Order: sequence, then C-alpha cells, then structure tokens
Amino acid sequence: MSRRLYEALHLIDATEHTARQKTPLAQIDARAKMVVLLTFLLTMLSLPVERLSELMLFAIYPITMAAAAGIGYGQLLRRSLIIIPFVALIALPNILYQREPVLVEGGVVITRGWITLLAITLRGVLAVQGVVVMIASTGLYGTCRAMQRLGVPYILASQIYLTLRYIRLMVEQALHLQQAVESRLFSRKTLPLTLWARLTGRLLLLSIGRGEAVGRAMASRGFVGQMPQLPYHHTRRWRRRDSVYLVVWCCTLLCLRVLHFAEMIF
Amino acid sequence: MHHYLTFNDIHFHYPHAEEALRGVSFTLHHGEHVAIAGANGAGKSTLLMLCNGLLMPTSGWVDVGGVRLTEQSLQTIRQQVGLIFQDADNQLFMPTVEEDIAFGPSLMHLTDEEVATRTSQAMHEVGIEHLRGREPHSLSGGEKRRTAIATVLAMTPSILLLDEPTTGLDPRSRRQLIALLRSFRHTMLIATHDMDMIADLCPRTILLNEGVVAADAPTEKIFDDASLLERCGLERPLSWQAREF
Repeated sequence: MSRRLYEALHLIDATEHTARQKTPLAQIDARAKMVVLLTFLLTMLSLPVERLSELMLFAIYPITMAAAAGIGYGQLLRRSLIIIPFVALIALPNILYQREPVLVEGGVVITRGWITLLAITLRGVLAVQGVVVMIASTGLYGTCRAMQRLGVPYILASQIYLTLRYIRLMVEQALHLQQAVESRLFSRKTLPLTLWARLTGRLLLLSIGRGEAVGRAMASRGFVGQMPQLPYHHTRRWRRRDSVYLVVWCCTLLCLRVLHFAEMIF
Repeated sequence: MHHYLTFNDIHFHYPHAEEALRGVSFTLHHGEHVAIAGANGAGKSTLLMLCNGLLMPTSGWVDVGGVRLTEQSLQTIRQQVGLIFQDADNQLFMPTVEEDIAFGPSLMHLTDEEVATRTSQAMHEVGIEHLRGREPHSLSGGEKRRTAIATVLAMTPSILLLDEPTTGLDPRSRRQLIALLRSFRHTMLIATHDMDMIADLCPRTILLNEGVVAADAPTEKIFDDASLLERCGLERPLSWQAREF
C-alpha cells in the first residue's frame, strides 16, 4: 500500500511539474484553455446517445492537447481509466432498465442499456482526459486562477484549489499513518476491519488538523479567500495566438457537435 | 508603524479546555531579540499566535506598533508581524519555492516587478536562490526552514515571530540558522526551549510556566537561577553547565 500512496503523490507532483515545462500548450493563456475545455465538455456531453460513433471523434481534443502539453497519450489514457469504476457504477442500472434491442449481430443482442453504458463510460473517460490535460498544462493554481479571472466566484475557485491541495495532504498523512502501522504489524499481513475504521477516522482528524495549520499559515500572509496573481505565470497577457487557439477549437468542437460526421463518412 | 509589541493582561483559553495563558503582560521594544522559553505546553505557541491575530484573546489587549489588535486591524497587523511556524511543512503550500515566497507580497497590492524584487531579495537573504524552482515538499529540513523564513521576509515585516525554529535541524543547519537570525535587524520574539540558542541570540528572556509569566529578565540573570529554570521545566544551556565543571 505504501507503494500505491507514493505513486499517488508522485502523480500529483508530476502533473504540477509538467505544467511548468515550456510546452506549446503551456504558452496559451489559461483562460483560453478553460473556455475550450468547457466547450469540449458541453459539446461532448450533450451529444445524443445514438451518435456514439461520433463521440469517439471528440477524442481528437485530448489526443492533440496531450501532444501539445508534452504528455504521451498512453499516459493520459491510463490516468483517465481510473474514472471507469465510478462511471460504470452510475451507468450499470441502465442495463436493467433499458432493455429494448438496438442491434442484433450474430445472435448477440445489444440493448440500449449497453449503448448507454458505453456512452457514459466513454464520456467520463474523455471528460477526465480533458481536465487532466488542462491541469497538466496550466497547473492547479493556474487553472483555479483562470476560473477566477473568468468570473467564477473567488470562493468557489479557492475552494476547488484548496480541496485538491487537501487531497495531496491527505495522501501524505495516509502514507505516514500506513508506515507507522506497518512498522508495528510484525508478522501480520492484514488489519482487522475495526482497525481500518479507526485509522480512517484518525486520518481524517490528522488531515483536518494539518489543513487548519496550513490555513493559519495562509491567513498569516494576508490570504482572505482571493488567490493572488503571481508574476511567474508566463501566460498572463492575452495574445493573438490565444484568440486563434480559442476560435479554432471552439469551431471544431461545435462542428463535431452539430454536423453528423458519421453520416458523412459512412 | 513603530516596531514594538505589547501584551496587556492577556487571558486565553481554547474551547472546552483550561486557560492556556493567564494574565500575560510584557512589551517588546524596537529591535529587541527576546526569547519566550518554557516547557512543552507552557503556552509559547499560543502566545505567538495571539501576536498576529490567528487567535484572539479571551480578555486583555494586544498592541502592535500602536495598532490595537482587532478583527478590523488584522490585515494591517499581519503585514507587520511575520510568523514562522514550528512545522515548516505547514508554512509551505505552493507548488514551487519561488511561488510560495511570492504569495505574501502578491496579496499586498504591489506591482509584478516589486513582487519579483522582494521575492529575489528574500531568497538572497536566506541563501536559497538555487532552490527557486524546487517543490517545497522535496526540500531538506534546513532548506524548508529557510524557505519558510523567506516566505515571511518577503513581506518585509517589522516584527518576526519564530516558533521553535531549531526543531528537527541537524547541527550544521542549526548553526547556520542561528547565524542567519543573528544577522537580522528585525524585532524578534522566539519561542523555544533550545536554551543554547537563547544564550546565543536573545539578551532578554520571558519564562512561561503553565500559561503564566514566571520571569521577564535579562537572559544571564535567568540562567543564573537554576531553581527557577527547574520549576519551569527547563535547564541551563549546555554551554553554561560546562562552565560549572
């Protein structure tokens, strides 16, 4: 379990590290990237279930953006697959409730429920990929700061940033706790369930305490909720390339949404 | 703003707990380096947090450079009073050292150039320019402590509060930190039970014992009184003990 926690920490840190590289996507203003991401999510998520094949065309956005951000698409795909269990849990009931057959192929009946399951899963994976690419090219702080500059109430933007920072904090605390427990496990390989419950409660208390301490440090330096613009984010001023990026991608995504490419191609 | 700090009959208790501070009064004068010494649980950290309004007194008042500590004056006071926490990990919350140090000045309505200048100056002052782009959590204990100090220095406070600054440092890092603190011209209040550091840095010491000021005198006078130190759960510095032999 230590290894998984270390990997989780490494993943969080690697995302921030990637955002500081001088890649083509990192040079684009965070606001432009945020608007394009929102357009991507809206157009992709609003696509009717019947146009499942066209949903896959939306993968052009994360594939292209991953390359521009200096991330391999394989790496991005692996990270996004983590959402599958959660999405599948939400989508599984559709198999029970939507039983009308949509396709019969070689004796296999594919019901509408399965199509919906696949559509929801694919949407979830693509959405996560879009968000990961955004954060990997902008950083967590830059992303939340962009939200604030676009008019999202600063309390919401700050809360999102602090929540995601808190997750890192919790993983760190979990690692310390796990190491402390493991050093006293001796020959036992597993913990009783009651102990897991106690440790979870302890973890929550530790991370709350740590979160409060960090909150005090922030307050001591004048933080009252609004995240400041730091002079080291190199995409501060809007440039022509930001406009080009915004227009090209929004048009592309809108075309994918409005035009029936599957009919055109097939 | 004058660089002094006054505590007047301060009482403080945490919710559902005993009083942590009882009738604490003292004045810190401009340029003084004063130690707050006491055993664990004496109320040192609580006292420091009362200095910049992270905690508000249950009764009594705190005056920082002529400004009474209230909810309304918090921002003004926090620009003047810099608090360096015992655990440097709690002080560092941004993705890089440079951004962490720039965080405070960025909230002070300064221009980008001014923020960048202050950040560079603070890094230079504590000798961490080479750590500029590093992630804070990957630093060593001594580097984290220096970075934490820089985050506060960048706000150019007039009063520095340090909570157990030598905790967890190896001997070399500890010596370097003491040398650094000795070079500062700020008014300083250092909460510690590192008696050797007090002997090195602070001509005046306030002894806290169970939330009460047991003594407020020149450091040498306090170190001369072994029974007083023992009552407060402390000992003479090792360098003083060596003299007796």
